[in-house]
Amino acid sequence: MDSKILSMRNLSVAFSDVQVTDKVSFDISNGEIFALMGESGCGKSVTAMAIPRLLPHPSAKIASGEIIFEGKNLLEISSKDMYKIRGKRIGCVFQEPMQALNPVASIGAQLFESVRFLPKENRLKRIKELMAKAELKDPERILKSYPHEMSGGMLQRIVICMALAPKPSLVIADEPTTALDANIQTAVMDTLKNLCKSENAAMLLITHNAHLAAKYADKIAVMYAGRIAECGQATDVLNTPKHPYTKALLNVVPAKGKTLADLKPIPGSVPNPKDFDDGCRFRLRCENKSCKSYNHENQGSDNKHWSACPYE
Amino acid sequence: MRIKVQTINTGVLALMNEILNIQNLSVTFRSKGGTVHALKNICFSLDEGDVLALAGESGSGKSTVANALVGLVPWERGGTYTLFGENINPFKKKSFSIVRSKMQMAFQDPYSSLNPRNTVLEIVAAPLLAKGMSKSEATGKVKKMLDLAGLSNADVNKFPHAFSGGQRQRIGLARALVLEPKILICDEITSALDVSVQAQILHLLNDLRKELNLSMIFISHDIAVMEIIANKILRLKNGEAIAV
Repeated sequence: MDSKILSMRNLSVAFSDVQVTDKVSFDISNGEIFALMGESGCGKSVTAMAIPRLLPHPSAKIASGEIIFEGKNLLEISSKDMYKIRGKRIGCVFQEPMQALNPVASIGAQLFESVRFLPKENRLKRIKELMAKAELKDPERILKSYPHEMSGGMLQRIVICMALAPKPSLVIADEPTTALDANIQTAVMDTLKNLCKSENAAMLLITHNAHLAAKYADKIAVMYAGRIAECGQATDVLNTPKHPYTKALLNVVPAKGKTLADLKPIPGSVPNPKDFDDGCRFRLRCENKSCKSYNHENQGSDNKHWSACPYE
Repeated sequence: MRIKVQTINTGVLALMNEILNIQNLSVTFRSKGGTVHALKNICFSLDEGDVLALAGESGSGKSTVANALVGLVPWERGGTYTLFGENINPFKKKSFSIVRSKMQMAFQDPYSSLNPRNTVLEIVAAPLLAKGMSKSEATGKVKKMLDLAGLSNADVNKFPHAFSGGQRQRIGLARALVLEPKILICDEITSALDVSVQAQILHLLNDLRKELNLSMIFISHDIAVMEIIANKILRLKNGEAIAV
């Protein structure tokens, strides 16, 4: 089964004339978990939020590219048609559950809003079914509660239920566990993964955490300075990284058994988007400083392990 | 309750010379809504050169320990505080002025811990000027400290917004270390940073520790980071020290 559900081609986004992402291309297949991994400011969230057209208007502009979702180019359809896709076919789970929910509406009112497309008699049944799958015990009490009465982990489980209630085929999870305690991150991610699998939804997971990507993703795309540096099957990217940035990034991830000497800091810092040029944007931090090449061909066009570095 | 400090072998060499001893540290917050026992009878000690990690989930009391050490939260009766062999009276606010010359803190959020209206020079020189040092002497010391923290002298007249998160954290460290403390408390200083910047800061901390002969209390929720930087770990849960 390898039916593409989302195909992003050469997407470039600019914020008031400064281009922040450059020709980003990738495919997401039915039911798979695709992780977009990278450090702050590399363009992960901008790329992801371009899909449901949630980028700030009018400061953000799509400079080029297309996003084909279920056969339609999302960048060309009308706002009215987009309204039928956003939330219904594409669900979103954001970083801060406390900010994603309305503080003055009960959990029940907000959950019912997400199933309003269903016949009235089926709504409660659907909510309870999702809550059971999300391991939310005592649903009657939760439905009557308000967001401030719940813990961060429970709120994120509720947001996950809301995102999956309309049976979307794609869920965009933007750093879904970053705001949560380390010990409940795994439990919430397990819930999200299991719910997506049981509802047959694909997931675009935005994360800066290599451990999370390694544990949950089927495919990984590593982003650096607005471009995809490397993408492929998660095991290939993590076990045999090709791009110098991916190698350097995996070297600085703290893990059990590593010592300080094992963490080799990457010299320098990420360039400012105003200084982005056409050459390789990692070259000043790379061992091969004279290399200016950037290979954009065949990015994300098949399932092969792909790297933007022509020398690897 | 006796201390339950786990010692781990990370190449950090402590000199077995006790510089800090805390017994029965308890902190209680009282409000109209009720009483919260934030810390209950915490005991630990720190040897010269030690890096002690305080581990635990949110709300376990890690930051409260740090705040109690520098007198930012009131102690409950019964606790004792010994710093470099000297008994500190933790129930008197004045006694913490001695503590602060020997113990300084660096904070989690590099965006909110620096005054946006002050230049780097003003921020880092503030503790020196408060101690009565002349402006020219302070400027020289600030430049030396910024150099140690990996920032250039050209940065002294810039404002915090001109720096990235990692650079701001370096400014925060320079401010904490400019008074030449013997103990540095790092409260989640790498939590808000990217992994590549985190590695730079961890290396910087290790270099500064050796250069300035520092002992550290390192607060984090990331076990992997703690095992890399610390040689002792104290685990907290619901305000109590727990067995490993």
